[in-house]
Amino acid sequence: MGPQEPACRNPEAQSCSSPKAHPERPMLSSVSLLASKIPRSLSVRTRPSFPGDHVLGELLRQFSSRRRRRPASVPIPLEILRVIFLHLSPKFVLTVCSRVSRAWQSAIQGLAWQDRTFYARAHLRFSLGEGRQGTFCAPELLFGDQFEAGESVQLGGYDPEISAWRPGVAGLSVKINVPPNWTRICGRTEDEDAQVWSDVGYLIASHTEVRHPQIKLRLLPGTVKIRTGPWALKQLAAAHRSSVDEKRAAWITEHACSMLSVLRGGRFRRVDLDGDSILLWASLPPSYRGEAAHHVQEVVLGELGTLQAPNSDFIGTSLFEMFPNLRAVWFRTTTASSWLERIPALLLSRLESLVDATWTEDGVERQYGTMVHWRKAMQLRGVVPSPSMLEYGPIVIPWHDGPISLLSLADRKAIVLSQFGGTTLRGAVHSSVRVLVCAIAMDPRREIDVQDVKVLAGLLGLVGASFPNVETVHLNLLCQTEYGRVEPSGLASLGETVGRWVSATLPARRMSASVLWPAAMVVGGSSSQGPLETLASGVRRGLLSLKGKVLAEPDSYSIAVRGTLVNKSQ
Amino acid sequence: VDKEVADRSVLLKNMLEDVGESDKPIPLPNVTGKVLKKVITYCEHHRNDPLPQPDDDLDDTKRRSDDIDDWDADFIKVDNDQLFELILAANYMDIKPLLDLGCKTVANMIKGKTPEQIREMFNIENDFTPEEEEQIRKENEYVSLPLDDSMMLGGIACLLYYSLCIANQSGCQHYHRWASES
Repeated sequence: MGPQEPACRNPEAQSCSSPKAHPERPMLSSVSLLASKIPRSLSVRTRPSFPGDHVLGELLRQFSSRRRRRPASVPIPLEILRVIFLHLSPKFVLTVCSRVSRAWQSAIQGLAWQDRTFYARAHLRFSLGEGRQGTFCAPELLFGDQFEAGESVQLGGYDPEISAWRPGVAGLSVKINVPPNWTRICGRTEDEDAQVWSDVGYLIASHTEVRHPQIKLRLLPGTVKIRTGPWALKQLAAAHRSSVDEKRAAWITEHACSMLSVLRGGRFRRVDLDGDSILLWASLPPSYRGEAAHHVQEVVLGELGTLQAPNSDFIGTSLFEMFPNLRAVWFRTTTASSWLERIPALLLSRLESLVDATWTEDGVERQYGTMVHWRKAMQLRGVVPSPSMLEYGPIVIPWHDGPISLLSLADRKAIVLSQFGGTTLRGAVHSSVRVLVCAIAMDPRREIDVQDVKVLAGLLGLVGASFPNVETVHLNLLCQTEYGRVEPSGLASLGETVGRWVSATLPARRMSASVLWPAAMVVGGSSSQGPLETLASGVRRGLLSLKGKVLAEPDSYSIAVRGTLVNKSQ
Repeated sequence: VDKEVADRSVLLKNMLEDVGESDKPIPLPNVTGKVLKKVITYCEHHRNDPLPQPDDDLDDTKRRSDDIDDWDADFIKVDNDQLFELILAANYMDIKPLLDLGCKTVANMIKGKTPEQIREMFNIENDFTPEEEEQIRKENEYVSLPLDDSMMLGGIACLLYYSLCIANQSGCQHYHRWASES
């Protein structure tokens, strides 16, 4: 909270002069202050007299006498209110002050937003008492929909020995009631950088199932999020690196087992696992995994930024062991390719749906390519997906049945996604669309012939006709795993062709291209940026070679070539 | 006013640095003479106190409201209107210790009160609908356990309130009447 601007910076101030630096000026011993003669709460204006002023005067007199009987309303600025609240207990602020008025409630919300520890302090102080330092919970991890209002959750405390939350630490247990509007529950250590997202979830699980059976935690059908954070991964890595640190390894194992126990004991049918959780889980010896969670029918697999062997194995087979009645898998895009390559066709065919749960700008860009890959991977394994099996976000792509080729894509005319409502190309004109996402599966080894260029030029021309106001095109080139090794020369050729397509057909002023490299694809060059740069240079060459005006204004086209290099070392 | 005293106000301190030596009085359009006199009294009394540090806000111990010394407690014994005038002046003139003193005083006045009592104290209109108030109460009920004495009173008030709401669509008015009479 800061003061208002000094009067000298206010052009309306009377004795204001422009700021000057006077390092050598004599020190003042005293100053004169001029207070306002006008009471703050009144504003006085002069105007000519009007007939009826005496009536107004009487009304004012009555109003004044009424004001004397009743104390004047005291408007308290929000900034001041927040300072006042800071001197009150958070519990009192939340339970009493928030019910005074909308303005007060707004001030409290602002305070909670400004000061993330505000609610946290509230929770801790009720349970631990004033003055006790330690970790706290904050309402940041989603459990809200899964709990009923007023249900209790017993959390663990901070164990300084292992620098983490853990259940059953004497004297530090925290009991909270889960509010219905919580979105997340988060554990956090005193170290700002050590976010222990997962542990609260594990602790809830373990306390509910194992350590505090008297506390009933009724999970409603729905999703339970189980997450780990970077901190937990560090612990895991440390445990694996150092076999002598059995205590730490045991602790991690205990937590993972707690996760399993809650999965088995819960009644929810969807489980949300992020990449870290999978890694943690997959790293456990099979004997720890215990019996299957039969009731779970849907699993959400999170982003797997780094595909490591345990992850891939786990999502390939163990997932079905743990969840034998699995009917749907929700993916984040990058998990798909590796998973599909490992999953047995028999298991894959049992799924009713594979859904790409990603719905971000970047995800949209990649979704179609992923779908192509999924489709292909299924076909290679003899699995015929139902029309509705492959979905992503709110969009359902009309799929083609033939082999993935440039021609079949052109025939289907279904390679366009927009970020403005997920419109598929059906020949209509969508003048509101500014961004296009095109995904094209290609064989980079093959020399792209004239026919290909024609087909694609026609296709992209159609795109241009359907989206006349498009300004940006994201071109997503999917290089199929089964095509094998890709040489840099192939990439350059590919890039050049792409550049020609765009310059010949699209009105777009900006274009970005990305390339999906499946895990098994070996990319030439030693640097991970090498292939992308090669592609980018090819695109530029293609643009410049065919469109003379580009030469005149080379900066008008922004070419950003990005790549998803997945496990390029394989 | 001694410059040393004026310097207790960050606003004045900055202005003096900006304007330089001048015989002209510094206008404070947001502060009345009565309040300014009170502010100067405070600054003169605390002229030798260490200046507050920016990190003070992060210190939980500085957020207590029961550490007002005797002189300050006596100084701040003013009516509500003047109290808020002082707070606003302290905020405008950026005199953090005085702002804290005022806010602590208001906090002490609020402590243990019910929402209705607070509204009555500051003449605040209850602009929540009964449904909204119920929603807020539900959202925050997880912090209500265990109840301390003041919260027990609040809880009883709430129970009565909701009973009245159920019994009568205009229960809100009943509750307000009950609360003000009690």
